[in-house]
Amino acid sequence: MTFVDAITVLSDRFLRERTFELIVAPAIADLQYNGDEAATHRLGNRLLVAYAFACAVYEEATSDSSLLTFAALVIIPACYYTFLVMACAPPGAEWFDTSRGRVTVGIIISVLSLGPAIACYWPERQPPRAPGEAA
Amino acid sequence: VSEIRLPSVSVTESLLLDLLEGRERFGLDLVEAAKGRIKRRSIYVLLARMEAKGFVESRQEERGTDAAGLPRRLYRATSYGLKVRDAYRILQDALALKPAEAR
Repeated sequence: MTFVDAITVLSDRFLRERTFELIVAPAIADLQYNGDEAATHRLGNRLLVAYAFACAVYEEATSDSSLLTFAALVIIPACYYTFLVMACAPPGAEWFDTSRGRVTVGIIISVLSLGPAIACYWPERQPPRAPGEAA
Repeated sequence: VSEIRLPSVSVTESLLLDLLEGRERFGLDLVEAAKGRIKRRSIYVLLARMEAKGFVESRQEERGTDAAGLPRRLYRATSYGLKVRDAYRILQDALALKPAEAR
């Protein structure tokens, strides 16, 4: 899998078609247009594509209310369960002081928070894009 | 009473509209023409936001069927974008007047 393929696959998963078309695809086109440049320039162009992808994800997250709703649906129960664990943990329980205990509690809270949000509300996904296809 | 949202143009957007007035350009051409005033890493985000506002429009370049890679994108200013830019310039000029000059 090439760098462009990896960015395209990630875009298929996280970005809407229009966002990919307007922000990521032109950066990839520039990378391919300048394909025969020196290795340092190629690395710079790849970083620009990665930056364009990060900006596109940010644009999606701030413009699409469904993603914010999904984040809220995960964060609210996570805060609730974290508070519950902190309030109900037996005083002086050594289990919570170990890294294994903290990781286990973290996993349980993540599953309890993410599970219902994923089951009940999942942002709409776009159909996969064919390799090399921009629009 | 419904509130009217007025469009706004930043200095960078105004510069891009200047560069795109009456001609189509690629993103990289715009970065070169801006002579360091626009970063290459942020050009497509800026253009995407401007397109969402209706200030610019874009299309994919026409290429032969045997061309490899993704087609590049050509941008040009819309008449609405130029109108908003001109209106902002008039407003800036008016606000820059001193009270004595404004009489």
